[in-house]
Amino acid sequence: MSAGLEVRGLRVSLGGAQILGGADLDVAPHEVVALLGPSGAGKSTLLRAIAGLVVPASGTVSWDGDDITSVAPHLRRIGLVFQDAVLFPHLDVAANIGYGVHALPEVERTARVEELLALVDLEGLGGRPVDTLSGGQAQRVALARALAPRPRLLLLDEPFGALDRELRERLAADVRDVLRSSDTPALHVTHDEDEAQAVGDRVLRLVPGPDGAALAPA
Amino acid sequence: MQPPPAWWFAVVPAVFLGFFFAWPLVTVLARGLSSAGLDVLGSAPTWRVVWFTLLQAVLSTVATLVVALPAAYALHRLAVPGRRLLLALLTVPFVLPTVVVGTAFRALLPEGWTGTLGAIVLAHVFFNIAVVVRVVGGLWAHLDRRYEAAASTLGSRPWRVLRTVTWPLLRPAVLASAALVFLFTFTSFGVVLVLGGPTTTTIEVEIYRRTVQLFDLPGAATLAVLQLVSVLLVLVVAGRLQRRLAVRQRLARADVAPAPPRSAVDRAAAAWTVVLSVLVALPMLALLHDSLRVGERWGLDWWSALLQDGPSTRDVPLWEPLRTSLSYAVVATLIAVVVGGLAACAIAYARRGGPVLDAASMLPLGTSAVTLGFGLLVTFAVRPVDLRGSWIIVPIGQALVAVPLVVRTVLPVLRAIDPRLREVAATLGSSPSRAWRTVDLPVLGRALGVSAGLAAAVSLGEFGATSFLARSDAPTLPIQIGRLLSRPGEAGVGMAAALSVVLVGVTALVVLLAERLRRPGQAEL
Repeated sequence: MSAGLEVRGLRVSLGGAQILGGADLDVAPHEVVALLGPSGAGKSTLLRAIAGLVVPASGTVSWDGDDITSVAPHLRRIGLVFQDAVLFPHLDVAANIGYGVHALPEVERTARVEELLALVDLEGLGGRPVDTLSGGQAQRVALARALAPRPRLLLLDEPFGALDRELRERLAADVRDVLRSSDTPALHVTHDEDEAQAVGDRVLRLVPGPDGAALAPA
Repeated sequence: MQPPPAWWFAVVPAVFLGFFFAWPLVTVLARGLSSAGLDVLGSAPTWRVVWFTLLQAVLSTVATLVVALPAAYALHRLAVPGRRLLLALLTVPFVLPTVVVGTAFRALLPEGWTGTLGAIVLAHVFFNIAVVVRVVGGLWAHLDRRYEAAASTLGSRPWRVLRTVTWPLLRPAVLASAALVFLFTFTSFGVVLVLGGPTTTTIEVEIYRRTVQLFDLPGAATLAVLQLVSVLLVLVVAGRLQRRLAVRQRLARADVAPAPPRSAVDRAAAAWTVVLSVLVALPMLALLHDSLRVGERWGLDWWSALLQDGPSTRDVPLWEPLRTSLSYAVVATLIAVVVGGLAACAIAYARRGGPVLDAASMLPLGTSAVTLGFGLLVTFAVRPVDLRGSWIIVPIGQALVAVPLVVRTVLPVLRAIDPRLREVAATLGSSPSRAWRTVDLPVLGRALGVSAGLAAAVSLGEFGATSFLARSDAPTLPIQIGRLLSRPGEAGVGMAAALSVVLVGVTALVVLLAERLRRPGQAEL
């Protein structure tokens, strides 16, 4: 029994095609693991399976030794940051960040939102509609939104894939600092070698195979 | 590189709509407001009609939403077996002529139900399910699932995801469909004429009654104005609300792949959709039953009666109204496609005033068909343009009702054309008109084909305007059904049912042909 995330023999088929063919993966507490792989290798599918958004054909996902394979996504406390932010378009920046902590009393919720805005360097932008944000800003809000409910694990799905190189490198460094300071373990998916080396304590590679992808050390 | 100037396209629609829509409407308005017709507004029975019109429209709208929203979800988000068939089954009622819908419910419901609020609401729900399923489902199918996925990874239960994410994103479409259903039911004519009673009648039917039975033209005109104002009010309020609730969201490009039903709620929605499809088939089956049931036995008596010359001049054999309906449909479709297609081009290419033209093209849909028919009648029954005796006035009236649907079908397709294609054509040496012919016209052709099917269906089933305009010696199919229904005895009902089956068949054929032209993902309604 190990602490943190433990994925064993995870197989996922979508629309008849086997995407993942038995993936094994561990993420220890306090650890940031970078996951490399070409486009279409099944990186997103792996993250979605860990978050509970797709049902695996077989295999297990455990946390601190408890099998959570059939636990609903909203009960897993596993956060997910999508490639292109996916901010709620009908809510402003503060309401997006506060979405996952709605159960907190108003005062605490506001404080938490302010704290996260500061963490991602966006003080004072809480009242902005999300469609006025730049790509980099939107991605920071998405990160803050995912961190707000204090997830026990954060999944990042190519969070800077759509941004230009300079911005991507700066944000990669920022994310690493944010994850450190909030002490959140993370699985960070990317197709960029440099980014993987910059953010990860450890780098893994998703290798496509005839029966779906599997994981290997980089 | 600009598309051709909008006014090239605007001339014909502007002249046609000005002459056959605006002028008759103004004539009706003037009559209502300038005469003793205002007395109508002082009488209690009038306000009872207004109250009932509003009541049944609100009830019908709410009931349609309740019944159809789970089906919209199941048919567009879940992998329900036989999805396309179920969707087709639920869409059929909307293209049925309203008189047929009324007749079918008379055949289905027990005797005592005719003339009740319940019967009218049931028939309206049946008719409008497709509006909600198609309009809301169209957006639901393209709703990016990751919004909901993001919400659930943030710890939201399915119910809270629905309430705080799905609903706000879907609200504009729900509102749009509700506004359409409300308009259709508020101005309902055919259904209420057949199913309503002395105390259960709509403004639209009351306009008809005053004009045709009481010869109270000023009273009818006043009611027409009242109805027009109410409809405009609803359109304005709904439009404002829609703009306020509109959310700029990224939509998934293709339909989001439907997922197998997993939760109990999903399975319930799928099961309800199947039940609803069966329920929707019932009135049609009742119609068939009535056309074959003669007294205590089965027989083709009503069908053979349809084929014969009857004792009175009103008993025309089947093929006469059939021929009349089909030839009117051809002419009305031609007019509607030309006017609507040109109007859509004008709106799409307008550099200024596009939204205004857009709203103006919807006006005929908001105006009651009875008011339109009545307006055409009183305007062109006098010199210098006396068209009363001419058959052309009938397809013109039907085309007016169909033009907004043509515009709705063609406009999104035109707007989706990448303007760079015209630029490419220009850099290859094409004149503006050749660029238009080679880039826009091919795309336009297909959309016009689809809209022609819709326009033909509208013309075939049109009852409100036609009931004023059709000559008594040349009834259309719906008019003849209405006549048969008003005849006492079993024969009238049986023959009306048989003729309704014929009309359903012809309409279904036309719509099926048009559906074959529709590309997946193209605009609906």
